[in-house]
Amino acid sequence: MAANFLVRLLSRRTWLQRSGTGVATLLLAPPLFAQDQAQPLDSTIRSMATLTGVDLSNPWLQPTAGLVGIIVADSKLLRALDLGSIEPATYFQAD
Amino acid sequence: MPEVLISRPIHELAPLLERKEISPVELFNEAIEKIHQLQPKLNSFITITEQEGRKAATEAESEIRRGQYRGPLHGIPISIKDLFATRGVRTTAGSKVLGQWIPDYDATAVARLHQAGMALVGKAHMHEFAYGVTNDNPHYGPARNPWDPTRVPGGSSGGSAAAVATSQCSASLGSDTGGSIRIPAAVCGTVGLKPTYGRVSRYGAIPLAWSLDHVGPITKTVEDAALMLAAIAGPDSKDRSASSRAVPDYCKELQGSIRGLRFGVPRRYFFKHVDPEIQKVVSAALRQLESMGALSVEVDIPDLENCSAMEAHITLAEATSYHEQYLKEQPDDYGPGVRTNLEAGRYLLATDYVKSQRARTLLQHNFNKAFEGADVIVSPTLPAFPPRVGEVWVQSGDLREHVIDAFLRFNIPYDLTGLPAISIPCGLSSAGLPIGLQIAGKAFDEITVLRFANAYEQSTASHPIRYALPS
Repeated sequence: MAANFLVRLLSRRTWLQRSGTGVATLLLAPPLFAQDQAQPLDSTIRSMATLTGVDLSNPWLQPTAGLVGIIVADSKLLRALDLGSIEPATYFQAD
Repeated sequence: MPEVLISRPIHELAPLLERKEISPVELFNEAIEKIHQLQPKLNSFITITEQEGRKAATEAESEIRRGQYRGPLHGIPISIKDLFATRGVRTTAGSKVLGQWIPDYDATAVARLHQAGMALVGKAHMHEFAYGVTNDNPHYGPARNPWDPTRVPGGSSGGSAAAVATSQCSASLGSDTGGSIRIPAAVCGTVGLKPTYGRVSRYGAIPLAWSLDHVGPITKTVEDAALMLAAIAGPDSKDRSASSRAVPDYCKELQGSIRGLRFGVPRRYFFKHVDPEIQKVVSAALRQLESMGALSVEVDIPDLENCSAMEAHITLAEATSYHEQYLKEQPDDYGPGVRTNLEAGRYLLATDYVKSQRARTLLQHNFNKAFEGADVIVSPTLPAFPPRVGEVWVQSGDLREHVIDAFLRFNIPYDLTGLPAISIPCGLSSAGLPIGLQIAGKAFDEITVLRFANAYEQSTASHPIRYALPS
């Protein structure tokens, strides 16, 4: 892919979440990469209704699934990071 | 006496006010006139507080006449990002969800500015719930860039930065979770300071992500940023994350020399995929620092490539948690972008959230190692210029990317680590758009950050960007 048109994976996430017409585009446009990302997670998210207490359906299901899919895909490096015994940066304080 | 007082920075106005050579009411009237003139074009405000502000200016005038001068912010026209609870004044967070909320309390930072004697000109426009970087708001219309009104002013404190740049106010209070003070400051040609996490109380600021939210000033000059920080910083029992560290005298050390001090240049991450004009202007700024006797050192900070994933997991999870009830009761009152983010936050794994919080500790360690060899770290604030309103793609050198990715890239490391970082104007592009230089420092070392920034700013005192009022 020409460097001039290189689009970072994460950019597709933000295209989904920021576009005011993103929802309509996903429903009406021909299959897009974003939709390819969304489809495997659509049914996963629907099946989580019992867990989340929320039954998410379209028009929000596909953009949400697409965004989640892209964030997860973008998290490969983070998930592979070996943090040993490093503790979280945030702590509960008892006082 | 200058014809347009309101275009002068606070540190020049304050002595004139103290000596009663000018009146706070006069200053306030100039600000309000500017607001009325520019509001139709730039939409920098959601609410204009002309009545309340004039009352405060009048009270300031009486107090100063009686010899009860409170300090450098007394009688100064200031705006507050509409994220901060302001007693008796509609506070919307740029949203329809809170569109009719009138708080009965002040955010701590707002209360401190009131105590300092500010005259509130209005609640500045912002991206809905601070959840974006363009200030393109579906409920209140887009805020616009004063240097090119067809473009965005950056966000989420876009109204604040545009108002300061055009002297609709002398300074503004903003917030920064992924760059929301520094991004619009860079885009609008102002100074924007994100202090150390916990330096300024978050109480009364509608949260985006509790563990990433910072409160800080947007001003015309670095000295003004120091004055604002001095007024708002300090312990607060209402915010558990607020530091109990004493607040130093930021202005006392401001004029110190930077000769012999070291500025770290992290080329691998912060100078990659950057517009060539930005690269050129920032490089010139670095040479300027060297000409003042500061020493340039190459630094490398590992693991920065994880920042965008870390930011996503933390912000989405915390934001969705805050909005849980609103999302249940008023889901259709959200704009589509924010709504999608909030829905998505339910489906990210807790283990990824915790991992991201653990990775922050690693990132802090990596920055601390870099600071063993440098006193500050410098970079461009942004890799690309702002898009036109309604557009979302930008060109960052060889990389075409979404504006969110571009604008967060150099900013989020300092939200994730909580380190202080300031953006200051360092030049204009050939199209007349401001370019920002970011200077970051060690935790709670705002003094060194401000000193470097002030030294650079003073060395370019004749630069027209400082007080330029775009037509």
